[in-house]
Amino acid sequence: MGEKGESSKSAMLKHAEEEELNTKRLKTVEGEESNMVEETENIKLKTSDEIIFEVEPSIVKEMVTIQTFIEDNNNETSIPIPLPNVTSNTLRRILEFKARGFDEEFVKTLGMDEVFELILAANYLNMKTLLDILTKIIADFIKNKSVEFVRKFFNIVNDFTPEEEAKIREENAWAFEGFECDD
Amino acid sequence: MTNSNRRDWNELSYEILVTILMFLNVGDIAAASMVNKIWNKACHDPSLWHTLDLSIRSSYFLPKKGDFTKVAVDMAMKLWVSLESITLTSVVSRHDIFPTILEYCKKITEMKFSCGYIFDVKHSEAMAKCTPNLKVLSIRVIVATMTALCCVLTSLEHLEDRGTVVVGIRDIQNHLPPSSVGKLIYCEEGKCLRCKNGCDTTPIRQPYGPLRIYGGRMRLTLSNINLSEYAFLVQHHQPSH
Repeated sequence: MGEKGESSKSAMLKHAEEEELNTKRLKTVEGEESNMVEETENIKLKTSDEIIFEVEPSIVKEMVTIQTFIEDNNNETSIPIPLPNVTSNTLRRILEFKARGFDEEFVKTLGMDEVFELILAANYLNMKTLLDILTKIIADFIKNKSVEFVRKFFNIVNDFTPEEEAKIREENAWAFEGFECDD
Repeated sequence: MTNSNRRDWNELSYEILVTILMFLNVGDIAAASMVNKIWNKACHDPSLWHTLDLSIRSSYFLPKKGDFTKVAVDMAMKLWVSLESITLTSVVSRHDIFPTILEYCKKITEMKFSCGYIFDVKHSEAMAKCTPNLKVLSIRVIVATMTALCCVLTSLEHLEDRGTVVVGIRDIQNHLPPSSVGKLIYCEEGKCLRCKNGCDTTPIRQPYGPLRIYGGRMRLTLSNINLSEYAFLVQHHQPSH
């Protein structure tokens, strides 16, 4: 039991150090602008796995869901705001992504599972800029790909009957009329 | 980026799926509609069909080259009565598309020509007659006769100022009345951001055209052309460039 307490303690310390690094990086990226932001206290966000993050108000401004929550609660920011749909890993990624100035190349290094989680989180938090970037990256994967590729890549089961599929192919025939098929 | 082994992408909300599809052109949406029932439903969302992009595409299983027949174009136009913007490329390089647009798509206010489209007097006369309410005319990497270009710019009264970009032909201004000159943005030697990028920055199913800059100058893609007769045009962009 003592060991468990020690390990969770070290995990929390590690987490705190990471957060400090993130905050420093954010301040570095934002440069002089961050000095102009009023010195208000950081906002506490509690992820689905019970980890509390302290996030600068300037970052929270982009999270419309949280902004609305704060406004609905008379601007009360002392109590951690629960994020039941966001894990600590995902929130950490979002903060890192924000620190990099929404770098599209950074997202491309992630696995599809992570991108999936980020999309769900960005949608839940109502972060339009992030959601636009993520959905565009997914769209880039779909471009010029076969139906079979898309199904396999995204783990999607074909729920059409053969008759339904034939009908849809017929409906779409106009778009490809007069074209030569690929070799 | 590795593929997903654990996640079921059906968990994505309908709205997110539609947002993803907004970035695709008509051929890709047609393919996406065959993935499964949820994707099919999302592909029929009205918000996707305000813009029709018929730009050339290559793919693993869909066509690489060819022409849309008149029947195909007519079918497409009938489907989208709420169409507001259309992108035409060499796959639909025919002037008889305009009467079809007039018949079925009365809401069109934006037309874009791209990727090897050949634009002559027949096209300009058909446009003047069939799409008189155009606000934005965007012409990019195509060949157009001076006569056709002047005809369009003078006859389309509702074109917004700074709605069209002409590359490499300052002479065109001498052929136009002062009221039409204001509709042009003159781009000199490919210095503007649009030319340098060679693509549209708008994130909704725009064609990414084959503009290339060589030594700071636009590379003309046809040989033996008379510059006083032909204008190479690029897609419209913001006047601050």
